[in-house]
Amino acid sequence: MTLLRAVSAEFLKILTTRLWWVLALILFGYVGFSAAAIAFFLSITPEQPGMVIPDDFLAPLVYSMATATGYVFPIIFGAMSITSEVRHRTIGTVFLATPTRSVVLAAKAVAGLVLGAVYGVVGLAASVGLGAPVLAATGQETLLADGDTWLMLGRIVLAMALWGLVGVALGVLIPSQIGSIVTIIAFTQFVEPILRTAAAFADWLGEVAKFLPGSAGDALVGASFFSVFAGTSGGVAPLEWWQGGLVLAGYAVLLGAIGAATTWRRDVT
Amino acid sequence: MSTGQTLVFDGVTKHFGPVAAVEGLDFTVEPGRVTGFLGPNGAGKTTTLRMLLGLVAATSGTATIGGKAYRDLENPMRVVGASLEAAFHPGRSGRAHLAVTAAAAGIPRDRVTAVLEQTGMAPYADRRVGGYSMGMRQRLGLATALLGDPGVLVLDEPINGLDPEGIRWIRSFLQALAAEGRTVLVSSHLLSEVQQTVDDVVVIAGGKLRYVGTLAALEGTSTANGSVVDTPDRAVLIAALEAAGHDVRVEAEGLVVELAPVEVGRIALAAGVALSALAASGAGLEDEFLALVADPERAAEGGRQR
Repeated sequence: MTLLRAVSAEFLKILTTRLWWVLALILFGYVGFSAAAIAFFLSITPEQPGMVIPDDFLAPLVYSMATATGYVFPIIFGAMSITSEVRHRTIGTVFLATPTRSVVLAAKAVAGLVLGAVYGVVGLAASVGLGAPVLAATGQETLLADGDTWLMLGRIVLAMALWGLVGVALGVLIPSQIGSIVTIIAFTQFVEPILRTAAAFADWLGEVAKFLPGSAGDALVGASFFSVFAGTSGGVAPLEWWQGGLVLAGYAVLLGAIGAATTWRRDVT
Repeated sequence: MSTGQTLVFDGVTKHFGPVAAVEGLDFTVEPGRVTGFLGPNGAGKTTTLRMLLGLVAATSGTATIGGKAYRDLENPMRVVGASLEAAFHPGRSGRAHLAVTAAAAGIPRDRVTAVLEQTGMAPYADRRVGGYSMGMRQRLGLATALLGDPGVLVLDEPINGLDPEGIRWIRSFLQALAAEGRTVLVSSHLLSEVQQTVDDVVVIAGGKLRYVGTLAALEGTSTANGSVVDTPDRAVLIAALEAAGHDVRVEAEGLVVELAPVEVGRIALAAGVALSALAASGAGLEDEFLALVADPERAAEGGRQR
C-alpha cells in the first residue's frame, strides 16, 4: 500500500518536471543521428579486408545504436531521481511522507525501470525510425519482417530498463549530483571503452572484460557497434543474452545494496 | 482533523562524531498551546526537531508523538505536519509539489486546493517554485505541513523571511490552530519574533535545556523596576528626582531612573512638571532570554514545569 503510494508519487514527480522529456529529446536526436549516419556510411563503404560485415548484421547494428549510444540516458535519469532530491534538499519531505526508506528506494527502482523502458522505446523510435529508411534507400536489408529483429528490439527495451535501474543504484551509492554524473560519464566514456579495447589484446583480460556492465549490456542486446569493432573479439565468447541481463541486474542489486546500507540510512540534516 | 498529541522528549541526545549537538533534552509539548522552541543559531533546535521526525537518529533517548516514534505512526502526515526548511524542486509548481507529497502520504487530492487557499498561496500555485520569494516558500512549507490536517504541527523557523503582513498572519494562524486543540511547536532564534504568539517556551543553548515553562513565568523572572521618563523641563524634573534621593542618567531615550514609573509620576506631579513620556525599563524579556542563553548556570528552574 505505501509502496503503491510511493510509486505513484515518483511518477508524479517525473511528470511534473522537465528532465524526463528533455533527456528523451536529446536521446532521440543523438541516437537518430548516429543510427542514420552509421547506416549511411556502412552502406556505401566497400568492404575492406579485415572488416567483414555480413548483410544480415548491418540492420541490427544500426538498430542497436539505441543502446550503444543511448544507454547513458537511463543511467543519468535513474541517478538523478536520487541526487536531485539530495541537491534540492527535498529528500527530508520524501521521508516524512514515507518514513520507511526502503519503500522510497523500491519506488525509485520501479520508476527507474519504467522510465528506462520508455527511453528504450524512444531510442528505438530514433534508431529504427531514422535508420531503417536510410538502409532501405541505400539498398540494404531492413530485416523488419524478421522475428529475430523484433526479439532484439525487445531486448533493447529490457536493457534500457535495466540501465535505468543501474542508474538508481548508482545514485543511492553516490548521492552527490556532480559526483554521480562525473562517475557515469568517466566510466561509460573512458574507463570501460579503454578496458574493453585493451581486452582485445589478451584473452584473460577478455574473460574479465565481458563481465563489465557495458559488455553485459551489449551481450543482452546481442549486437553492438562496440562489439563489432573493438569488443570481445579476441577469441573470447561474449555472454549469452540472458547472462548479460543477469549480470546487469546484478550490478544494480550490488551497487543499490551498498548504497542502501550506507548513504541511504544516513541522517538527513 | 486528527487530535492533538503530546510530544515527549526523553533524554534526547545527539552526537555528531565528537561534537555533542544535543545533550539530554527532557521536556513535553502539550496540545492546545503554541510552544516556542527557542535558542540561538546552532543551539541544536533543528537537530532536535529532526530527531522527533525520524530524519536524524538519536544517539540516545527518545522523542515520541502520543507515545509513538514518528516512523511507527500509521499515517504520519495525518498525525504530524512539519515544515523544516522550505526546500522544493525549483522546476515544480507549488501545486505539483503538494500533489506529489499528498500522493506519497495517501492524502486525498482535494486537500491540495484546501491548503493552498488556507495559506493564501492559491494565486501562485501554478508558478514554478524557483520564482517564489522566501515568504512564498514559507507559506508553501506551511501548506505542506497542513496537507494531512494533522493534530500536531512542527515548524522550524516559520517566521523567517515573512513580511510584516505575513508575520501578523502567521501569528494569528498558529494561535487559531492551537485553539482548535492542536499541538503547535515553533522554533525561532528570536524570542521577540514569537513573543506575541507562544503560550509555552522551551529554551535551549549549546544543545542543553535552559528553560521550560510558560511565557508568563519567564516574564515574571524579569527584573524590570526602573523607568524612562522625559519632559520639556528636564532641569526641573532632574532636580526634583535628585532631591528625592534618586540618581538620574540622561540617555538617548530620555531620563533613566532606578524607580518604578508610579513613583516617578508622583514626584513629577509634586514638582508640577508636565511629562512627555514615562515607561517602565530594566531587563526586558529579550534581555532575560539572552541571559538564559548566555549563562549556563542560570537555568531558570523557577518556571520549570514537567
